[in-house]
Amino acid sequence: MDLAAGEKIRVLLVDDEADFRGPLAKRLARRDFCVGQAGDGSTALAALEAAPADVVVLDVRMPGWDGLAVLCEIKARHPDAEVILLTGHVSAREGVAGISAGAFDYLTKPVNLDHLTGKIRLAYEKAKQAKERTREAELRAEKDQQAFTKEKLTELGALAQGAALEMTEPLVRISQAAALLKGCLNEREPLPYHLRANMEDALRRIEDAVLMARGVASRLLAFSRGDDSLIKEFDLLEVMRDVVELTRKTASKNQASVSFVAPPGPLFLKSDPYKLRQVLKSLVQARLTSLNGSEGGLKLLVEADPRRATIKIKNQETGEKRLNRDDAPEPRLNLKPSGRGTGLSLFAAKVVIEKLGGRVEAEAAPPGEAWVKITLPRFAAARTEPEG
Amino acid sequence: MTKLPIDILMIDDEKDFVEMLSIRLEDAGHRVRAAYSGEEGLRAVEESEPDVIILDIKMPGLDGIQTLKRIKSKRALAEILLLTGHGAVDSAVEGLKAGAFDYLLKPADFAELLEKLEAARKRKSEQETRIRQAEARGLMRRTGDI
Repeated sequence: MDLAAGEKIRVLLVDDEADFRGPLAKRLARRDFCVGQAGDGSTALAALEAAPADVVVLDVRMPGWDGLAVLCEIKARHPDAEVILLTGHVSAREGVAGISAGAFDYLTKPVNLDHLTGKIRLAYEKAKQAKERTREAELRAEKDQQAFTKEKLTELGALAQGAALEMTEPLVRISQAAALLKGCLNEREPLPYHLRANMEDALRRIEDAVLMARGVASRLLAFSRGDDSLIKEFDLLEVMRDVVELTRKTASKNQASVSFVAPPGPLFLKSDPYKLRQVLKSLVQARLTSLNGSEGGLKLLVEADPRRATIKIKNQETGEKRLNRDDAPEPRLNLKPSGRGTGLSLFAAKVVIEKLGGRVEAEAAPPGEAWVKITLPRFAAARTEPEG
Repeated sequence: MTKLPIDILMIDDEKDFVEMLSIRLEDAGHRVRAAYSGEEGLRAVEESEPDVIILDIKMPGLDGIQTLKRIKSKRALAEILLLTGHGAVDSAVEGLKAGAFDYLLKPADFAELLEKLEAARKRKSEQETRIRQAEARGLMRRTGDI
């Protein structure tokens, strides 16, 4: 087993016999181990709290708290530490019991130093592998948590945007109906005073409520657009990888696939990666749902030149079955605003991308060749006027 | 090389999930027992220690982490794979620090699950080999061959 330069195995020697423990500690130190000592279980546990050890060499027979009880406590509090038990000649059974309780192995006293150092190194190797696995799992957990948070934020943004845009149509109808009623009030024969007053009051309340609801919709839209856009430089290919990851479940549910093709990276852009991710995810999910089991899947084609980057979402294969308006919850390739026969998600995408200085184009025909293309400037700041 | 079947105990309150995964694991040649709560899982471990335990983190009553700690206190060599949802990844890390072998996000990738089951079983098997070797050494000492 090779140790890295400067790497020393940290050993804690736990034995109530100081005459045995002290010299052994010195001999181990000469063999380049970093050695701590403890005379009993409590001191050992305190030492481990203060300075974790890689391997604990633990005498089984100690007054008070015996070795096996100390072993259980060590394994409970420091599961990464490996323990080698030292037993007397006639108590090999305790050694076996100790291994069943989680010790790495046991040696009988008097201890052969070469055997002990060999066992310490093997125990250390096992501890190191376990720590690496734990560390790897922790990094994976961090990444999983970040992906989950990203997904939730993206969904929240899309939800807010969807809600805001969907509120517009009913509010328009309510407003129109109230205006119609107002007109009727003025045109008709004079109504009894109390009736007119009540109706005028009711109409005022309706108009106030519509204004309030419009305010809520604007705030939702502002939240989802994030008028405080986070413009920064980022690698577009990272966003593409996120989008593929975030839409994998939808793809699987619709028996489709999603992938992207791009020039070798990184591909830097100065824009808002969070909104772009949100828009791409919404568009891809809408398209995947409309595929609904037809062959192939979606391919996201990324191209770039020094001025602009384009992302084209198209079907992977030709012969896509005709889009079924009754099936797909999220129409359709149409850039008109909500309420005018539109793809809600596509219109919302257009609004967001234009705010970032880009543009969205779409083509629904011929069948099987449907595509959506997003073009974004690479290094200009977001402008109110779409580019090109 | 023929793979030995792994003796698996699944502890998860979602019966449908347990049933489906059990079928897949049995089709892959392994033996599976199920327990639908932490308490039931502890009793199952007492009856017969499995090679590997698949343990859901989020369960009503005794949750996965508490169950893990109790199992480890009685069966130090138990190898436990945690299953967690996206929102409970922090608990998975807590479980790793408490001695779990590894964790997987639900719905677990089946190939990855099989790989981790095999790795966990291998580690347990190595420890059991050390026990048998220690027993053999003890026996030889008693008979005076050393």
